[in-house]
Amino acid sequence: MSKLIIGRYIPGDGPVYRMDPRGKLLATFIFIAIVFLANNWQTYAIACGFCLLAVIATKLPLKTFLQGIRPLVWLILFTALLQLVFTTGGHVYWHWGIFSITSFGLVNSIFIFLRFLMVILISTVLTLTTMPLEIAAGMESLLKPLKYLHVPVEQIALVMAIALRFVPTLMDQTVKIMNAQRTRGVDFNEGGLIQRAKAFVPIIVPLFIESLNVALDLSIAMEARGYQDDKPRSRYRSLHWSHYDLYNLGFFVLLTVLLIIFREH
Amino acid sequence: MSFNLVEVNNLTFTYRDEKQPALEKVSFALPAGSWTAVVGPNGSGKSTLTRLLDGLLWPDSKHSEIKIAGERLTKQNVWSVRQQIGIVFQNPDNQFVGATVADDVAFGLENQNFPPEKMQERIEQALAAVKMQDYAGTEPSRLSGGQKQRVALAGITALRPKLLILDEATAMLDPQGRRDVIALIQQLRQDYQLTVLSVTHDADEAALADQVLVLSHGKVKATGTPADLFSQPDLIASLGLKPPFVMDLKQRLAAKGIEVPAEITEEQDLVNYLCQLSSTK
Amino acid sequence: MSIIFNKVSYLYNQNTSLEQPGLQDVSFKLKTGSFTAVIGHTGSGKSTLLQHFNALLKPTSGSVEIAGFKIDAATSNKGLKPLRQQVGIVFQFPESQLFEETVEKDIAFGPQNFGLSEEEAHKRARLWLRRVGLSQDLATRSPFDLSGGQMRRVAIAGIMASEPAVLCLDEPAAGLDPQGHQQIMQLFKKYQAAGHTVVLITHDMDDAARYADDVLVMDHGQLVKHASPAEVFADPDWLHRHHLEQPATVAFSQALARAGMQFEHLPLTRSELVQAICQQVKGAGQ
Repeated sequence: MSKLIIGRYIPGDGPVYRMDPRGKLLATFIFIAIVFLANNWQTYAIACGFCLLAVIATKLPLKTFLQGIRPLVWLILFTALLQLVFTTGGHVYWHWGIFSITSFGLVNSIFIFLRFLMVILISTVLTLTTMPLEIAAGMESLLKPLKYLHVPVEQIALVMAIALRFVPTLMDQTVKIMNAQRTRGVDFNEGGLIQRAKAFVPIIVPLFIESLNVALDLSIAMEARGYQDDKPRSRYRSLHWSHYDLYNLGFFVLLTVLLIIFREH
Repeated sequence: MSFNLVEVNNLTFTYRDEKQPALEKVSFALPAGSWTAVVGPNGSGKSTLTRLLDGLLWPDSKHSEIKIAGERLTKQNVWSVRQQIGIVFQNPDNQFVGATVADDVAFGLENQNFPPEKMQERIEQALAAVKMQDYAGTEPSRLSGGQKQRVALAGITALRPKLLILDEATAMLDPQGRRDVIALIQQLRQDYQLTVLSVTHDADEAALADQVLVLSHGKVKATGTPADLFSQPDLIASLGLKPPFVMDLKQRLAAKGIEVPAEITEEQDLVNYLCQLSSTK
Repeated sequence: MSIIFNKVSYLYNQNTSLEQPGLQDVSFKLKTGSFTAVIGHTGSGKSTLLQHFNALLKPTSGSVEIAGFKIDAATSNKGLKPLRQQVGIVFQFPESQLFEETVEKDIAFGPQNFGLSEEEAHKRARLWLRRVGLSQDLATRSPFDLSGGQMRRVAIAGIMASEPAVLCLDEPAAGLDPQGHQQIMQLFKKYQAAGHTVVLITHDMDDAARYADDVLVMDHGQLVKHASPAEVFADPDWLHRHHLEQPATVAFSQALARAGMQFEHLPLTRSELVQAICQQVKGAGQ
């Protein structure tokens, strides 16, 4: 569990760390969209080059990113493989029933593989360099227009922030309860599917009760500390645009323009 | 010291679905700057009392009165009155709202719509006051229980309240954490002229108070100084309190026929007294 | 059969950037039927040590011999039930492990997992409900309707009902009132007297002095002392260096000794202390 890199924040000081979370969030979404503009070797090379630049700009060791990709590598390969054997057209290298390997299929599967890889890398850049709290704040800010549709954006953001805050606490609690039940003879590695599922009842029930207790205590503590959901609140973490965000913007304009110029029409 | 920061008159409260009131005709006053300990067995109404003082619960009838800084607590002024009160609860984890130490201290300030440009300074000051300035960016899961309670105190002092309520704030801490937090509260009390109300099971914590309020079955059973209280061993036992070591030893000696004068309450005095007794043959 | 820790080291998050030592080269031997207190400040490695007693954690290097089992880095995670039947652990705030519909079912959960028939397990449950000092009326109640102190006792009964040869306890009395505290500690002492081995993690030096005949002192994941309570608690400076305190009784006895009173041996409990004082004072008066 602790080896999973996706969704983890690692402190650092690369230029990406200094970018505003709103900018980074937007950039990630835009990248995921415009990567679909790439449709030939030139455009894929440009997108990959850009992706690599983003990785370098985190100043984190490449190893960290590889660790992040590893758990997903089979999923990527599987998708690429499907693409490989089901795409028809071009020169046929190999053929068996409905499966075939063709030159189109080969190129397509490499493109799919690269696209997948880039999307994962860029998302990892975002999560590695942005605290969950900042992502929540960035989301809140970006979703602000929804307030006019009476969506309680601020409350949702606070709920998100508190949920993130309690993830480690509840993880600790889960480990603790699992150890306690193991001591009482529960074996999570034993028996068939039903037995294993049943073994989780002694975990889920205490965890649920604990969560309820946390929620009750927390709501009282929050009220005692003056929280009112319908009153304006000032913010400690204010978001500020800086010149790093201009670089971010500049790169994306450049990337989009390059992709449009070089893609096959 | 001349005025009462808190005055409670005739306070009665009954939980929904309960027949017996949790508190019945409770009256007391907290002189400004004083330290009052509230003791009593589980279910005696101690926590209910703190919640009523903060307007988290409301008394049964209009005849009950809670005055804070001269102002009667009502549903209209509860939010402004609440700004004068800070509460530290028992469970260190379940009152820690922020994702980091600084964010948690900020939470109360944000609720008061405190100007963001002044926030950083206020937070640093508050963290320095509880000696947690090196942990501003730390996540709560990396802190000990004692450290979390210190952050809770920072969050409170940042808001400059007049009344500090400790609702069994040290009950879940290890001895070291408990000593640290209690020493810190004594310091903060001086620095910020706080009036303290501490609900506690810890005799050593109660011993620090100027007055002790004994609750039993929702009623005030006794009030007095800690020395008064600890001279009544039967009362102490009935409250589920562990008597301080010296008091306990005096009782055990008395049972064996060695009567120690009541004025001896400190450990060193008892040592001297006993040694004198054994050497005067 | 005694418990042997042989050069046990444990690393948290081994082979990651978050690697951290939990235990370092810990070796000791506990006699069967002994009552051992494990003391040390928060974060000294006491809880990590405890989890090695029934293979919830396995040593990164070194080995643990307990109840006829030998656990080392290569031990499989499967087939550990017999070990856990022999070594029970009551964790801190064990009330958070309760989950069954009734108190009796919850206490019977462990014994039943360890192979007792339903009938036998429920018989055990009622027996231990009584032994932890709870009324039989509670057997059919939901554990979540009980008070905090009652829930604690139910959870403790849930471990003791399996009647493990080794009973490990992590701060079992934390948060109980003085009477409850004493009752529950007496229960463990009685369990020891019946021939079982008891290991108690505690912050309460008075408890360590009063109930234990053997003390392990942990600091920074290392075992810094293994000796009798009298020996461990005699030196206040050494204890302070390891962020520990003397029991009140011992500190007071030493103050008396400095002021001229003489003791044959250091009183560890309050009744011993009172007795020693009476001998001096009354003996002098007669």
